[in-house]
Parts: sequence; C-alpha cells; structure tokens
Amino acid sequence: MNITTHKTDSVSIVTLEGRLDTNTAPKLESTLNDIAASKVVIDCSALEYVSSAGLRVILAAHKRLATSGEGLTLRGVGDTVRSVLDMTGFSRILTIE
Amino acid sequence: MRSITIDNDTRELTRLMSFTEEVAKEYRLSHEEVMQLQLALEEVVVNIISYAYSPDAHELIYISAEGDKEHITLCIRDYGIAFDPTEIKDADVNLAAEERAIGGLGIYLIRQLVDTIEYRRSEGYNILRLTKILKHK
Repeated sequence: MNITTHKTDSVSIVTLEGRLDTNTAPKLESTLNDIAASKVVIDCSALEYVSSAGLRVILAAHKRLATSGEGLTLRGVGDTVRSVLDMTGFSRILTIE
Repeated sequence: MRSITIDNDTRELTRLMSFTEEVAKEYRLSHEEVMQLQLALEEVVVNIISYAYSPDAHELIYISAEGDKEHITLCIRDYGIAFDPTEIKDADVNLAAEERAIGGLGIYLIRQLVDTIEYRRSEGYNILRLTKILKHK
C-alpha cells in the first residue's frame, strides 16, 4: 500500500492506495501518529480493501483526534470499502464525505 | 478442490490472496464475493497466527476451497491451541466511537461475510469451515 501525506496549516490529507490489511496497517498507524493537525482527511479513492487491522488503526486515530480536534474524515470511499464500514458500524462513527 | 499450506507468518497473506484469486476464477465469483472471502480468510488466519501458535515457532496452516455453482466452502486447519470462534460473543457495532473497544471486530466480520461457520476439534486440529452461498447475477 502507498501512503502519501499532504499537509496544510489546518488539515492533513492522507491518501491511501492499495490494500489496508494486517501487514500495511502499522504503516498507516505510524503515519497517523506523526500528524499533529487537528483535522485529518483520509482519501480512500484508491483504497481497494480494508480488514479489521486497518479498521483498528482508523478507530484509534479517530478517538485520539476527536478529543483534541475534529476527528477523522474519510473521503472518496468506494463500494468495496464502504460495505465493510457499513457492516462494522464505522459509517455511523466516522464522517464520510 | 484447491488447497494451499502457509507458514504462521502474516507475510504469507500475499500468497493467500493470490490463492483466493485462483479460487475466484474457478468458481466465477463476483468482485464483491472475492473481497468477502479474502477478508474472512485474513481474519481467520491472523487469529491463528496471533493466538493459536507460539510466535517463535515455525508452524503451518492448511487452507482448502471447494464448492459448486451454488456455494463455496473454505476449510482452515491448524494444530494450535483449541479455539472455537463460534463461541465468541458478537462485538457491539452499535456503540459510539468513545465506547468502542479497539479490536474484537475480526470474528464479527467473519460472521457477516459468510453464511455458515462450523467448528470442530479433531485429532489435535482446529477445523473451521466457512460456507458462502454464491449469488450469480
């Protein structure tokens, strides 16, 4: 999975490309932990797959950001990833644009 | 029937995903069905790697797939600690973010992704059979 981060003063946009699974989730975790911005947007337009390991990282980051800022927003979520977010109730927790 | 044997190492997931692509071709699965089987398999296998076997030992996990036009069954076998995932209580997916535990979603996901889950312990093996009814369009 490729991760690219674009930062402005108020928001960090993290773009994910590929598969967010057990092996790639730690890479996203460390990327998100390094972000100091109060608002984080994860661009999922090129995200093909997410497993519970990826969901765990997203939930942990959302909890952390929600206490200090605006939490996590997911953008460009495709049908495949959306179905996993729906079945786990994550669609109701996270802001999905 | 197709089968694959993998090591208790998450790096083997790549090989496992290629295996499911082959199964998908054979049984003409939809894109959604392939993703669902891959996800269920990842959750099962990662549980085995994390909890059934000691991380320091080199062990094996056996996976096979068989089916017909109507359904597909994945059978996952390991000889680790006895563990019946069908006895695990469902995670509560209706809780708000702050009340959610980090984790506990894997088994919940498996239940959502397949139609039946059967577990038995036989001759030192955990045998888990996941069956999915195929929806041909």
